[in-house]
Amino acid sequence: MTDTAFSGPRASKSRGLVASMLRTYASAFRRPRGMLGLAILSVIVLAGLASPWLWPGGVDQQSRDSLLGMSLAHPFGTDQLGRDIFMRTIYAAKISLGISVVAVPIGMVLGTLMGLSGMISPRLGTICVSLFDLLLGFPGLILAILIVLMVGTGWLSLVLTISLLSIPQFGRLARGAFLSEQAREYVQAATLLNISKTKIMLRHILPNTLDPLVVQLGLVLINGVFIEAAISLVGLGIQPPTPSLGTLLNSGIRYIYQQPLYAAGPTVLLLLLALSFNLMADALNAATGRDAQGDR
Amino acid sequence: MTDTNHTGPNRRRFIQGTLTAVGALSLTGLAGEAVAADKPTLLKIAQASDVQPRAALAGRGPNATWRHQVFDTLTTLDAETGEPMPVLATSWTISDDSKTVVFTLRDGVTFHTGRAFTAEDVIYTLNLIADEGSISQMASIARKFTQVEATGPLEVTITSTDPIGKSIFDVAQLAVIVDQETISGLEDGSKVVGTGPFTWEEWKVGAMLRLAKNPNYWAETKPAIDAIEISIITDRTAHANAARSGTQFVFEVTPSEAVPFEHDRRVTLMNSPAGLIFPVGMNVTIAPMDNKAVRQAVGYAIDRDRILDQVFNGFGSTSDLWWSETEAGMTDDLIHRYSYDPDRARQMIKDAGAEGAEIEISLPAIPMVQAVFEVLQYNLREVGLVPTGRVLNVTEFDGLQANQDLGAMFQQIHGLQGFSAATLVDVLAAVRDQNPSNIPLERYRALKDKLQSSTGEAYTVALKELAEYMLDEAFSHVMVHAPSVSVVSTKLTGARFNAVGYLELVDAKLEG
Amino acid sequence: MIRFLINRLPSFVLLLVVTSVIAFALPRMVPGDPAAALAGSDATAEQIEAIRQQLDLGRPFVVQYFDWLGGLVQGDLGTSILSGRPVAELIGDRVESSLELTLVAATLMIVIGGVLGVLAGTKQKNWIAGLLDGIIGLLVATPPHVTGLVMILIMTLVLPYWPISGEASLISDPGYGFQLILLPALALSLPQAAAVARLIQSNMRTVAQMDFVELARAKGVPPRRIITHHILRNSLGNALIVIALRVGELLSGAVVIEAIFARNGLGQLAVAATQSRDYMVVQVIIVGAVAIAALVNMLSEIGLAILDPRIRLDTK
Repeated sequence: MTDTAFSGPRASKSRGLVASMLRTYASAFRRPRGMLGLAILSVIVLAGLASPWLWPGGVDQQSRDSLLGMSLAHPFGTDQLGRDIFMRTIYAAKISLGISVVAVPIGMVLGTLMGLSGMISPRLGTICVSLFDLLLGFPGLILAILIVLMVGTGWLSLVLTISLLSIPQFGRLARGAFLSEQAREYVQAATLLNISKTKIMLRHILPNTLDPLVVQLGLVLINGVFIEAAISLVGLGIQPPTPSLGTLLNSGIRYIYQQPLYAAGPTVLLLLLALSFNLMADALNAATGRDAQGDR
Repeated sequence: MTDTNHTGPNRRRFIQGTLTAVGALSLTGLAGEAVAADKPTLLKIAQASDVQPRAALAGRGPNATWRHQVFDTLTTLDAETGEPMPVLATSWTISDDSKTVVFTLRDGVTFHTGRAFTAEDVIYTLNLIADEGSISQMASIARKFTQVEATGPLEVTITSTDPIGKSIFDVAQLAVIVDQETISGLEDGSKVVGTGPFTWEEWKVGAMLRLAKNPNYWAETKPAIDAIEISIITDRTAHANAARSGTQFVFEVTPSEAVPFEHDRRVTLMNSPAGLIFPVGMNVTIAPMDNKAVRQAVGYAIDRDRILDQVFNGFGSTSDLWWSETEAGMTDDLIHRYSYDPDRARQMIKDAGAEGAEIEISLPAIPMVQAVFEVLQYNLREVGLVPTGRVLNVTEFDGLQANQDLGAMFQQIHGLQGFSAATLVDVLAAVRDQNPSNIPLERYRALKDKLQSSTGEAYTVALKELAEYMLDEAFSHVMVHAPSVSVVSTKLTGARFNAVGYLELVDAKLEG
Repeated sequence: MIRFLINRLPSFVLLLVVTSVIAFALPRMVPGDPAAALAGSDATAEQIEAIRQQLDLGRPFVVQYFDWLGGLVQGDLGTSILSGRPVAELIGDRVESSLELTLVAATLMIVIGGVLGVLAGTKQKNWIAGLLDGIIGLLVATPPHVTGLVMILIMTLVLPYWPISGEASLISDPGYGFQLILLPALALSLPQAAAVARLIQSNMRTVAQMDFVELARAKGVPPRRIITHHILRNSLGNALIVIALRVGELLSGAVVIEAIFARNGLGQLAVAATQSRDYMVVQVIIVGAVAIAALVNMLSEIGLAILDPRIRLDTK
């Protein structure tokens, strides 16, 4: 991730900095890709937020009409307990995204701090790199199961698992940026001028690592949704009657021969989310001057 | 008032117990062997959990497919009548007070190692079951035997302080005769030796078990199948799918997976008389469940018919009882004491002042139990309670259940159906003395004792009295009796389940 | 390079030690114990306690840990609590399945990634180029288990009798084994293939702008020959090393795929052992996985350094 395409050192006053960064990011969403990605996400999020008004019966409205096919009243049919699958899918997307939105930023903050910790002491930096290796190598599903067994099933264990697994995703990026920035003249000059390390980190290094981190944020967010789905597939995720994309997939697969739409709904939604986040990441990449194709 | 109809259009019919093509056993036994000589026949079985040779002497679902191929018991309970039938014991006599039983053993039986089977082997096995470290569900009954002795090389006499005329055959049903010389091989499945029609060849832990025909089997008709391969497929969907790709016997599929096979002509759905019960229990020492009216209200709140139709796809029956509805004296009034009546339940909960009470329901992370929970929590919400689920990993759940520490409300899943009620009330975790409902024992134990010491008409009266007490106390509500459904190729004939759900393949034949 | 390895050795050993402590402690901190798993669902508290005594689980944790570590150093992985079998044997039984899946997936990854990458890296009509970019982008972003579910869904609708899940050895039952391995291997390989495709694509674009390609073009070499002889040959070098490294990632991605497609590989073994508290098995698999990942990581640094002399290994 040693990248030479960074725009030069940003060391302007913080207010101007934030404004310029926001302008850059906003410009990403004026590109067709960014616009499309944002549009898909907005529709899903808005529908999720509006679901209590769209379907006043609630997400757990059971009836005897089980496994109905497609109809106007039930666009995706009904599940084994007679609940509307379309509504549950929309609601599930909100739950799954919500978990990811809570968990990933925690991982981002921790990962970034750990990645930059080499600034404080080189030894601390090396230890953090080892921790990243540990987290990356640890079998994710086993970690998830162990956490669920300790904390119990539910959103808390999901948030813990997803944030832990996100740490190295950001940490390695921050570490890479830190190493390449550290070698540059302006940092060395600042060090010579006796500017405090924290100041150098906050004023110089952090702003210059932010762009790739923001792009990464989009990709890890959707990854969080996918991790939730994987954990629920083995029965350890969000518990019924609350639906998440993972739990819906889990039960949908069980009824795949009787009601193929059941699994199709959440699958399509997952793919749409993946597409939307990916488009936005591409657009952000382009806006911040990095070539999307060059990145893995 | 409410719907107590339990033979609705959605209920499904099965072939009960046996899949014998008429006369196949007696007429083609020899022909079968001739065919086998040409081309070895391999029966492929699939099941969802790994076999547990270590627990061979206990009742364990995953052992149902192989245990009676490798081992024999003294007697077996007939799947239809529930009467004991001879296996390694050829005859038996029961004393008038029902406290002494004498078994006469079969002559000329050898273990797979070649050693002859004697009375000593029976004594050794029964002692293992009564042993301190025993994990057999029958341990408590076997410990009541005061003396187990050989009264001849092929005669065993068992005496007890309590009448055992009925329960001894439940013990015998689980007590497969093991070989004491190789007993340590059961620990890791490296050597598993019995007297049965098949020998234990190779076990790849968590993946596969292979059995081969025992050419020296004691019965006149030797097994027609040369080898059996049991694959462990832990994923439920994949497990059922095995039936589409050449596996002739898929043991225990979930109802929703069985449905697509109903109209498939290449397979039959075979149900075992055993099956599972799904109780929901309440701890009578924790508010608001310390109020009997609230516990009874829960009984009226549960829509058992909807659970049966939507979760079990109609496979099974609704029943409030912990034992078979064919037990003596079980009337419809007992079987369906609590029928769905949400209005009544809501009123009862309101009167008890429990409206809006938050209740945590503990349940094991078993898909069928979780599926039942979805309806249960909806039903309880309907009548004014506020339930939340606490899903526990099976191992953790089992530990808490053993410690009677599952909280105010909990869902369970129990096998062992097919044993007599007298035995079940002491072995099912939901209703045994150490139950997580913490029900006071004085009267309960007295009623159980009365049942276990009586026979004939007195047994019927005692069972009715116990059922009345348990239903009235309402500390455990059985929601559904679900059969164990297996998907079986039509090419396989002669396979049958015994009364408690163990597969017997000694007479099984496989075509082409 | 040797100096690099020597420099790295202490932190590698430290990583393994820390991992072993975590792998030992974490599963044991979870409520519930193997005695309850062995005793079964109908067990009473006394029965569980009797088994706990038999299993000798009461020894101090520190003693147990150093016993295990001592065994590891001598190559003894320990004995499974639940099955009584050596852990090495349990792992050995499952390795074939995991390796088969990884190998087939790696082959698919190379073929699909290569084709997609070359197509995307050469000049195409606008809409085709856009389509290829879209496909590659979506595949990169979708993890194997979701791809797997999509494929299960499509297959049940299109080819209902295709065996979707289960396991048969590729060696003893090649026909059926291949049918079963195709979907999981494809699901596992697609995201990695897309990543490989991206790399090849961007390499080809970079090379295409280099002087010698311009020169060849000016000399009138036919476009097809330019692609095969000039651009491709110079683009594939570092892609090969990256491909080799991605095989390691395939191995670790296999766990969830195994769960979905019901394959009895190492991942399934780990999941089952965790659920039933078979600590002895869980701890070995965790340490093994971390060690493999760290080694792959180290190899990737070495590989990249060989490719690009500008990266100096000893500065890190």
